[in-house]
Order: sequence, then C-alpha cells, then structure tokens
Amino acid sequence: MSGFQKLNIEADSHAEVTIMGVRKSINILLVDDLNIGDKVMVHAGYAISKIDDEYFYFLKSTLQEMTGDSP
Amino acid sequence: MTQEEKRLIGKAVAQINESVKSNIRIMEVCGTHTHQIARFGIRKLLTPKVRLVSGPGCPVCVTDPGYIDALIALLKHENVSVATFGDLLRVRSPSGSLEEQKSLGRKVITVYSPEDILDLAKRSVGQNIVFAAVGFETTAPLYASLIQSRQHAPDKAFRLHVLQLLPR
Repeated sequence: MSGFQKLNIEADSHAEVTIMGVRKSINILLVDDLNIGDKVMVHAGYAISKIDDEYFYFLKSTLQEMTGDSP
Repeated sequence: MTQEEKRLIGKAVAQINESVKSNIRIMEVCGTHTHQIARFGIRKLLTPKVRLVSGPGCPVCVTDPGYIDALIALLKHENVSVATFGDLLRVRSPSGSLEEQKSLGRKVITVYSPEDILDLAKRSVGQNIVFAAVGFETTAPLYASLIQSRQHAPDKAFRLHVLQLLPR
C-alpha cells in the first residue's frame, strides 16, 4: 500500500512511492494508466493494482491500529 | 510448555470465548499458524462458536524441504550465489537453512524485489546469481516481467530457480 508519485519517467517503467513514510522506487509495468497521486498496492517491489481512496484509507487506519500509531 | 505459557494461553482463550457472541470463522493464513494451533491444542479450548479454517498456506510455509536442499547444493559451487526474499532464509530442510549457510560464509543474498538481482548480476562479474523464485500467482507476473525485460539483453549471470505454486 502506498501513496504514489511518478519519479522516473524513463521508459515509464518505474516510479517513486511513499510506503508508510518510506520513499521507494518501484516497477509500474504491470498496471496500466497510472497518474501522479494514484494509490497502488505494492508487492515485492512492483505495483500490482491500483486502489481507490476509500480502500487506501481503510488499509492505512487498520495498519495504524495494529502498530499503535495515531492517525 | 511452561506454567507461564499455560497461564497466558488460558487467559487469552478465556477472553476470546467471553467476547465471541455469534458464530465466526477465522482463517489460518499461514501453515505455521495451523502448526502452532495444533501444537498447543487451541482448537479444543475455544468455544464452538469459533471455527478455525486452514488457509492456502504461504509461499514460505509450503516450500518443499527438497527445494531448500537444492539451493544449498548449488551454494557449494564457488561461483554461485543464491538470492531470495528474507523470509525464505529460515525455512529448514535436512541440509539446514539458507540462514545457516550464510553464517558459514556461503553467498546468500537477501533481496526486496526480484528486480534487485539485475543490479546484483551487474556488480558480480564471474558469479552466477540464482534467484530462488518462490511464490504464488501474485509473484508470477513479476518474474515474467523480469524475464521479458531481459530478452533483448541476455545475461548469462542471471538464473531463476523457479518454485511457483499456482491454482489448477
């Protein structure tokens, strides 16, 4: 799960995302039509699915509940 | 099991049984959950309202010991490195684990993404990098993408040792 910011537009293969505060370059070849600001599910360094805001914030609050962080 | 472990389990089970008001099903996602539940006899302690369902297992817990044995055998070659995800390192086989091999000085490399092995291969001239490509249908497209990206630039230093478990 992550916020999404395009970073590397070289060959449109990679982008930079923020995963729970950590910035990371991931491969985006497996998901079509991604734009800056989209949220994606990340698995082993690859975006595997685009997710909507509702699901993103549900996952985020669930993780915060598990780790004890305040929203 | 120690007395303290018994006390903690008894307390947790009592809290679960008290709080469950209607029938629920809980899936054990990983085989290690199933193993631990059986080991401590938790299924018998829970109220009948809680039904535990064994899930599909995860790529790590269903890995055949023979697969780990094969990786360990490969590591005996001086010019072979084995790369894989961190959670595979502790899986045991009759020959031991990759974690043990690493502590013995064998070339076991932990990666976050399958793509990491491309940089690894570039930096390791003369080494054969074997990637232990375990996983289910969520990782299969990743490996396919990796192979496709290399088809116009064949790299002899990069191999996938594939253990894919896909639904039939």
